[in-house]
Amino acid sequence: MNKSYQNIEHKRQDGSIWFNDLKRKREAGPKLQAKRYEQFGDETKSVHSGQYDDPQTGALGTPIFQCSTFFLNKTSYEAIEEGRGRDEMIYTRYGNPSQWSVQEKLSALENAESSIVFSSGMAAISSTLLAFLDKGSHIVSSRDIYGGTYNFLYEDLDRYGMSVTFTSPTDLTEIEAAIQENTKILYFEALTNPLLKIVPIEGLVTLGKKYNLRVIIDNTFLTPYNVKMLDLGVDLVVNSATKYLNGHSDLIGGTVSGSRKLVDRIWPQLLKNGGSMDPHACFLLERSLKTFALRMKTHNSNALKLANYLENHPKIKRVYYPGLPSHEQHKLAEQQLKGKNSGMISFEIEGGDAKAHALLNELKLPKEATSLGGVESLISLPYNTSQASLTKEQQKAIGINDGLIRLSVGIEDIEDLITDFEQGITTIFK
Amino acid sequence: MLNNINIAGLSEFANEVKDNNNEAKASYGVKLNWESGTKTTVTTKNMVLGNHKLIRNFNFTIDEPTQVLGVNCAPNPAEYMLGGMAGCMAVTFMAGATAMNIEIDQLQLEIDGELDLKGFLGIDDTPAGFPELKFIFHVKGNGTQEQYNNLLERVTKHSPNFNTIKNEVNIIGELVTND
Repeated sequence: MNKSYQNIEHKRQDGSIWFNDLKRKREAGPKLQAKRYEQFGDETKSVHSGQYDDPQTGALGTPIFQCSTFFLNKTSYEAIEEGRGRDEMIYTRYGNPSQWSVQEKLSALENAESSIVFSSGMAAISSTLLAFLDKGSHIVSSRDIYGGTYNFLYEDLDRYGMSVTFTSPTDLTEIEAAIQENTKILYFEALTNPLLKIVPIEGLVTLGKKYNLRVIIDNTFLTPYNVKMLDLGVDLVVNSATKYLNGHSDLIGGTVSGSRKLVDRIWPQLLKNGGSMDPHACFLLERSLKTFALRMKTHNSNALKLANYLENHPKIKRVYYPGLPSHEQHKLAEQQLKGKNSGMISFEIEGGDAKAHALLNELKLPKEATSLGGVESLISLPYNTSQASLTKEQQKAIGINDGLIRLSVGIEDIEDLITDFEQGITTIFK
Repeated sequence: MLNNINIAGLSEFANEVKDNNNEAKASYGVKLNWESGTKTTVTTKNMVLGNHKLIRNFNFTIDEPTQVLGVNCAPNPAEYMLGGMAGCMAVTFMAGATAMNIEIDQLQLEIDGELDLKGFLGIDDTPAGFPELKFIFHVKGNGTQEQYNNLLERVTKHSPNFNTIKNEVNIIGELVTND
């Protein structure tokens, strides 16, 4: 039931109404089409869910609703009066069919009741956290967290009268010890950057239940194709859509998914912070997501083959990849990732940063650029990009060793990638 | 939103509670610390609503007028109690008015009572508490007299603080000595 006063208008008029009479219930969505493709696989959901085929013209595929505003009518005025503007088209910062379409696809892929798309991953993260933090609240997060998120937690929370403790992302005892009386949220990344440590999700969820906390996970490195965080009991999952979800390195975006109840709490924060996704970016994201499952399958399998190749190369000192038995948490990887280990690899090359730079110059296929999750392989060094604010000593303390390279394995032909690395490594050690 | 009250959210909450009564469980608490003389400070404890913690990072000072031993730097306990009752009745009134489609332009609420301090002083068997409280709602809005009467009846039935004060409450006390 959408309307609060459906069939009880007369009670409203004669004054016999009370809150127990109100009709509106939470429903999944908001959505343009009733079909949710719940029983289908990710490949099918990627293609079909959320897509809006225009009944007026018969156009197949979601049109780009490039408009900032919508005609007002009786229904929209009622929605404004009741405070249920998220379910009506009123203004594009509030909602737009292009946003709803891609949100529905994301909800299907995440097994979520509701999702919101944002103009960037950081817009999703900051709006989500601010929506749930009360004055005086505390967050427990990870020392290995993405730099943008770290800056928000470390530099900005204090200004709002909130605080954060950074812990190990893997040690549940340390995480539990950091929980305070005023802790409200456990915020972690499912797979850390760049050393690909795995956060024990079930343990975090148990802690969340024990202390009545919300567990929020950034799943950017894994995506819902590899692990559906909500199925593991996480309250909310956020993603940088810029990465694997879009996959073409041609837009900036963010997502949050979870129960309708919780996502509805984030929506007013989105309105205030203003990080809505533009309709054209929504179109690109929805279109890109049609090949999401296909792409992820290839990212995963290419990364595993390349990780094996690198690990067996005499000039590579160490490879970080959850799918390798040498990964410190390989057992947890098998249990939590179930063979879908992501397309991210980090590795250390003989000869330190100098040889690492030399390799990047020699490689013909991977592009030397920050970001990840694109169809093309992307490669960079953490020491002068993501962890550049740390001294060499500080970098070593958290495991950023000399010669560490981060590689986002693309969907190129795996033999071509291996050949490229073979020639590159051979050349720099001649 | 009418009266800036999100009735759709209230409707969703009411229906959620019908399906899962645990979502209506709200635990509250305060912690008082004696400062000096009649002056105390109160910190609100975290709430748990349903299964989740809400951080309540608020505090306030309580004192007494100089005529009753204080330094008159803050409202006294009776005023906080009456204020808490009035605030609760006002929330109930406003949400109810919104459901009844009444637009409220102005709402003021007075609560008055007379204590006989003989009870506090132990001079005779006079009860220490208020024997009677009077409230007056001053309302300006587009409702009819009949609607407002209905609303007041609802407020006295559904306001938690009104009912805590009006009805007998089971109070369990304990003393812990810290040497």
